[in-house]
Amino acid sequence: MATTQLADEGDFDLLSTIYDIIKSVEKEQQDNNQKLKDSQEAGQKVLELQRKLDHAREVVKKLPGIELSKEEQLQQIDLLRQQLTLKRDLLNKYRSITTFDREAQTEFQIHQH
Amino acid sequence: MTSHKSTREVLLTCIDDIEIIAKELLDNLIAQKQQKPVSAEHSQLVELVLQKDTELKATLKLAEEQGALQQKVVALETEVERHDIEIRNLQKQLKEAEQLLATAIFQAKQKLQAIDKANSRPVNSEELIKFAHRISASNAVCAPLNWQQGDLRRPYPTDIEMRLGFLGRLGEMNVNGHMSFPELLHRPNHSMQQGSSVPNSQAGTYSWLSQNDLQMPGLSVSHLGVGGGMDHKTPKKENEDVDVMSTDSSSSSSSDSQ
Repeated sequence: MATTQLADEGDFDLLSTIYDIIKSVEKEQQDNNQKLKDSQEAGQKVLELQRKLDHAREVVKKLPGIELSKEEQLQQIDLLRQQLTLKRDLLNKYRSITTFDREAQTEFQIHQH
Repeated sequence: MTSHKSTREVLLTCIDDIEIIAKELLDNLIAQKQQKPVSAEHSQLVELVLQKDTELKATLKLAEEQGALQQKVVALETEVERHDIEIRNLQKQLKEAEQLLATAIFQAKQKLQAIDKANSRPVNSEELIKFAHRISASNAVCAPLNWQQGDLRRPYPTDIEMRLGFLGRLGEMNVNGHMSFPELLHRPNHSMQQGSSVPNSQAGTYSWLSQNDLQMPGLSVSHLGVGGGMDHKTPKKENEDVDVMSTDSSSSSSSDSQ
């Protein structure tokens, strides 16, 4: 299953590597040379597992948007939407404000007296 | 809310857990090969690793959704930033407008005060013009419009004009011991008729004088002497004193005419 464009499906496929290691460890060989080969192979598989784990960690670090938990992220979106609405309303209010007119002038004079 | 771990933390924890379990599993396996098998623990570990893997996959799915949400967040933040910029611009404009209006109102108030002041003490415009004439008659404010280089007129009274004045003729007219006012009046009248090179300024002052009711006698007497045209200076002792005074560098500029 693909997560994002940054991560491939194979990045997190650790189980198969573990299975490979188990398989190569459990291989019963009578021949000493083959045993050596098997153990070497097992060792390589272990290294491969280690590499995969490190790679998975790197990928996770690069994934965007996971600094917060899902709830916190939804809260953030809510907050941003509220902010945007407030600011939009503010701007619209000032854009639609009428310039000087007689009504405002008489109001001002009433306030003065 | 603080107990909520970020998804990144959850993912990394998952991976660490899988690593640990896998290591345990392998250790177990190797031990199994060498000693007697511990199958219960082994199967538990296997189950655990499977469980952790499932968790990891689920969390990865969550991370994918959050990634999509993050794009929305970024878009919203951009919009908010744009609105912020607009609001800041508006604020700047309002501030400028307020300043302009405050200045305009202040100046208008000052104008109104000046108007009130002027209305409380009205002055006849004819009188103002008369005073303006008087002040500028001596050409001290501005040169005459037809003044050129070489013109003998100066913004200050020249030595000729001084000699024609009261102080200058004080010695001349000392025959009687004192000068009578009517004599002073008649003298310039005489000289005016003979005067050949009468500078315009002298004529100008005399014409002003004749129109006026001699409201300032002190001033008018000193200007009277200006009316006389002078071809030559009568050499007298008092005049010598006057000459000595007039050879002062500041007043000798009239003789500097080119």
